[in-house]
Amino acid sequence: MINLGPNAQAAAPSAPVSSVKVIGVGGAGLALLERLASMPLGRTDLVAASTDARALMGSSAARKVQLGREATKGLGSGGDPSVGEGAAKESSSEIRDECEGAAVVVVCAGLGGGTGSGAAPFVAHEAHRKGALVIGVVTMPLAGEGGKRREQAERAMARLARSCTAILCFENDRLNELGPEGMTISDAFDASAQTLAAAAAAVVRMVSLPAILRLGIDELMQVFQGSSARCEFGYGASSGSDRVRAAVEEALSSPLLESGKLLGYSESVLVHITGDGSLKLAEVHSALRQISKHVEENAQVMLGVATDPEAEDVFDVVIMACKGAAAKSGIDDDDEEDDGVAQETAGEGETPEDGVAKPAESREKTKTSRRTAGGEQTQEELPLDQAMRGRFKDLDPTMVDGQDLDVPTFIRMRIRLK
Amino acid sequence: MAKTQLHVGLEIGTSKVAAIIAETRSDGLLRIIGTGESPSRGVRKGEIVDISKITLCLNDAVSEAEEKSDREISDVTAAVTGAHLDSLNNRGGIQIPEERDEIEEEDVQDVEQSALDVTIPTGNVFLHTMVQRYYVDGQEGVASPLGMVGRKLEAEFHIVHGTKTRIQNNLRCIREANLRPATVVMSAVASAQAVSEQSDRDQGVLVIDIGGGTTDYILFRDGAVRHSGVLGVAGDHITNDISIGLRVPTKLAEKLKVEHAEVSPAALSARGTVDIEDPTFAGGQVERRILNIVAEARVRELLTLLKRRLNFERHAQFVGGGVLLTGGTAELKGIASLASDVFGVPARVAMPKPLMGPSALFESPRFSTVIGLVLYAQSLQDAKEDTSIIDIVRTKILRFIPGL
Repeated sequence: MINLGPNAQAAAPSAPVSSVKVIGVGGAGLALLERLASMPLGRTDLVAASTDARALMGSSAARKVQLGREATKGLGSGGDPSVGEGAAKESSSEIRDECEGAAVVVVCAGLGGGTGSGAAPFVAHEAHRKGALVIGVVTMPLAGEGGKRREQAERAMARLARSCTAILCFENDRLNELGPEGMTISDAFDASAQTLAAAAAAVVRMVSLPAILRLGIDELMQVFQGSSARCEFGYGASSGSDRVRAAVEEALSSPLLESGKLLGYSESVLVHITGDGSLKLAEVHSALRQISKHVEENAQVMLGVATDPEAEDVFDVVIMACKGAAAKSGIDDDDEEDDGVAQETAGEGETPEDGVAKPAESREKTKTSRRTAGGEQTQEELPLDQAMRGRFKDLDPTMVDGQDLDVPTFIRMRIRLK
Repeated sequence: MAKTQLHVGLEIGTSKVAAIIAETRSDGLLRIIGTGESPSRGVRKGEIVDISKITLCLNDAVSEAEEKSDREISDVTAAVTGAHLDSLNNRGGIQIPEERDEIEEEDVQDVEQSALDVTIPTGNVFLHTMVQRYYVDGQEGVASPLGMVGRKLEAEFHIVHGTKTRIQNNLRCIREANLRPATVVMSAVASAQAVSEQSDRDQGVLVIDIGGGTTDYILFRDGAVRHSGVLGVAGDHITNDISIGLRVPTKLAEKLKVEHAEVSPAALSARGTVDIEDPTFAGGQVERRILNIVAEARVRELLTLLKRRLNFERHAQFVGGGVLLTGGTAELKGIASLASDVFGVPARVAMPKPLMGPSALFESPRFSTVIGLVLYAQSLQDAKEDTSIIDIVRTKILRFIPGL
């Protein structure tokens, strides 16, 4: 049985959110932008940000920001996050300009190196201060790249988590399992970038295309929370008379999903379908039926459907699932200035995430967004029941008054740790 | 002169297995002659999930106690806990047979039996029936009805019951270790025995034993048990919350909880940081304030929940002895001031009664239950020898549950 999430209720097709920006930071971020540029994303601005002037020149992104003209003189950041961060700070006004008016900012970077680890958290921070909802799409370095890069990546991750509402984190090690053994490192990076791009594109489409069935950001977060969550991902696109079956099959056969087997172990599964203007209800039903065979009985399936009126004969489906997700919360790192403004609960009104508004009941359950007096939105905390049970996750829940007491109190009571 | 009597307390807790061998000397005093402790494995929230693992731990703890005392033991007084334990109050009543006026022991047993005529969930068994008060011909407040003259005997009882299979699991691993569970006691009852005096119970007292996996509570009013139960939330939850909130591994979270966390209302605005020298944690330090906020939220919630469960407002003015906190989590800094804040009555951390013998290791609220077990076993023995003793044990526990 598929249980649809609380958001699986029809909403009138609404105007697309025009203000989605994808900012690629550093080498890996730019590479990801290149791939995104060739994908249908709805109305989305791509912004390339790098210290490396040559890399920027080669980028096909519409907007470009050269970070740290003075500090790096157009060269790379040499693998040093402090250089990357310094460069980003030097160019902070340009970064802010790029974020101006964006409802959603997707920050793409490879963590571990200099620009990605140093500048990406700063970019996310600035976007967040501009009131945008920030989603991170990042990769973690290969184990073979050594402990230092790993450490830099972990630190960057912790800092990103402060400003990002959700982070899709892909382990390069894990992505590399996709390919055959003996794959060269360049092929490995290539494969990983391709998968990452598909994931990022899917997220962007979810928030940028007019939705028929909305997926709230809270639901996105349910599926990807935390740096250590292992995100399983499948993407399929097809056209023609048999497009539903073909697209779903392709998505299910993604090596990350191990031919659909992994879906069976996932507690929540997110399905997002994008079609052209002719998308039929029967097609959505048919896709769900096909997917439901692979999903565990009790799992929650969250469905989002969007149409792209400009596309012709497209049916694509994204399946994301997480298992063994670990904790995510807003720990502070020590070296960043605290913007310690008094928090006030967000009104129901013009919060930045209204572009991907959650229906009232879901908001009731998961409403965690708070804004500072200045209209900033700070990071949401995640009411992720299963994932948040930590060491109790394999035990019967301790249910009292409809609450699972194994979930940390501070999460259920929405106490901000700041 | 009574001969030396051996009592063995055995607690299978979520965080540790503890065994105490004690003897009642000829002068009636209890002396500890051997102790054993082993970290638990295979227990979650007070319930056994892996019999083979926990049996090993049990063997370790028992052999240690046996070696120290140079005795071999077979009969033990065992504690049971787990959120499946539940309690209720019920009144029983009988007519005294026409041919006599004086109330006899047999009548006291009959009235208890009649009180057990209540519906408990299928699959549950009675664990304790503890008398609250007797009524003779409707007259309240009779301490002991034996020998009184009357036509009608009634009594109110506090009855504890729990899921049979879960209690069986507990007993099974004790048997696996070649021991005989001669007496089975609810952990809360044992802890109360260790940390409270009869005078406390007469005044009214709430004993809360917060361990690793469970919080066991028992409320006395006018010397009788009015409420008891188990909540499957305790110290492990605090650790888990810290681990998730501060994103540190469980072991480190445990260490932070034990060494640094403070839950008093004042600690919420604590300043400064705790340095972490741990290679598994990259962060270097955590803010005290955040640590305290996470821990306080959990403990406050736990205590508030208990307060609601007990309907504590109704009892507050009859609980002159206040709240006694015990169990390993009672060692959490600031917990007493938080508890008195929540319950609105004085609260303190209570240590188990000091017993004679090499018991230095056991002078901690962590060992209240197991020390309570031997005290319980002893008073049971005394009650057997002197039926006039009115104590919480004068409560006729089911020493042997048929079929268990």
